[in-house]
Amino acid sequence: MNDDFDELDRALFALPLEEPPPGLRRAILEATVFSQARVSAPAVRPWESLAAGTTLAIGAWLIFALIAYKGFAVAFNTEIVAAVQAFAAPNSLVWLGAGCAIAAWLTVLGSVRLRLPGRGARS
Amino acid sequence: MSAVATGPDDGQLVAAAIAGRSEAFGTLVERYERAIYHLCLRTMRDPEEARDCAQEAFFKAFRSLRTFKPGSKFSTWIFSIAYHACCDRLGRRKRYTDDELPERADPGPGPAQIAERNDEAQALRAAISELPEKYRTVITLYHLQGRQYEEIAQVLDLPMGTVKTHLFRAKELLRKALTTQ
Repeated sequence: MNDDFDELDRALFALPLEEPPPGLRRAILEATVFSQARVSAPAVRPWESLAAGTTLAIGAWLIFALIAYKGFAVAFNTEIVAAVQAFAAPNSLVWLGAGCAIAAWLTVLGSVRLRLPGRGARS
Repeated sequence: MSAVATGPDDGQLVAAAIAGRSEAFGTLVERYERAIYHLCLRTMRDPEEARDCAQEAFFKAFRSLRTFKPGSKFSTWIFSIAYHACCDRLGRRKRYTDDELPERADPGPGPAQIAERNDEAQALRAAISELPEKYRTVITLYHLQGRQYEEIAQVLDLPMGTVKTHLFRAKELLRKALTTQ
């Protein structure tokens, strides 16, 4: 199949390719390799499972040891009562109230933009 | 435009990507992004759809990397995936919007409008855009991408003789369109 398209061929070969839209590569990578990395990453790593299991086992053993202790019930009651009494003491309530008031004041202060008088405001 | 490979070749990058090295697939995307987008743009004639098709092609390629035959050309494979993604989309467009048939010339700018364009490249692009889909794709792959007949035949799943015929007719139509300006 002979042709005489030399001029057309030259023009076609010289025709530059259109630039892909910005962000296309990023979108492709997001849909492929980055997506796979997100999916394939385990929610909990093995060492995390091991640490959680060990902590739970130690906690269970401590609770069991405490409950098995003869004077546990009495000591537990005593400590609970002491804690409630300490919390209900006037001094504790005053400090608690002061803390809450300061926290509320800081919250309100943070949401209001302070306006200082500027030069433009004078004229 | 064959991808100029500096560093590992495409086959090595595919093997590395299969082994879980994400940067290897990133390099493949970098090498073929422009060519694939160009093929999609020529086939779809819509930048948004071309973008979607290009993204879809790479997504499909990534998901089926393990089916890529070692020793075969990655470019042929990815071009084939992209072309079929475009065909699927054109088919859907035809079904749902009763839009153009892929084989039919577009109701794009006519010769009078093309003639107003002084820039030769723009005129040529417009003329290519006027070609029927089968000719447009062949001319895109052959002239703009530098593909060989055999590779085009594989990408389009056509006999090589048909590819040559399409190319010849595409050139005839192009020349006719450009000389009527």
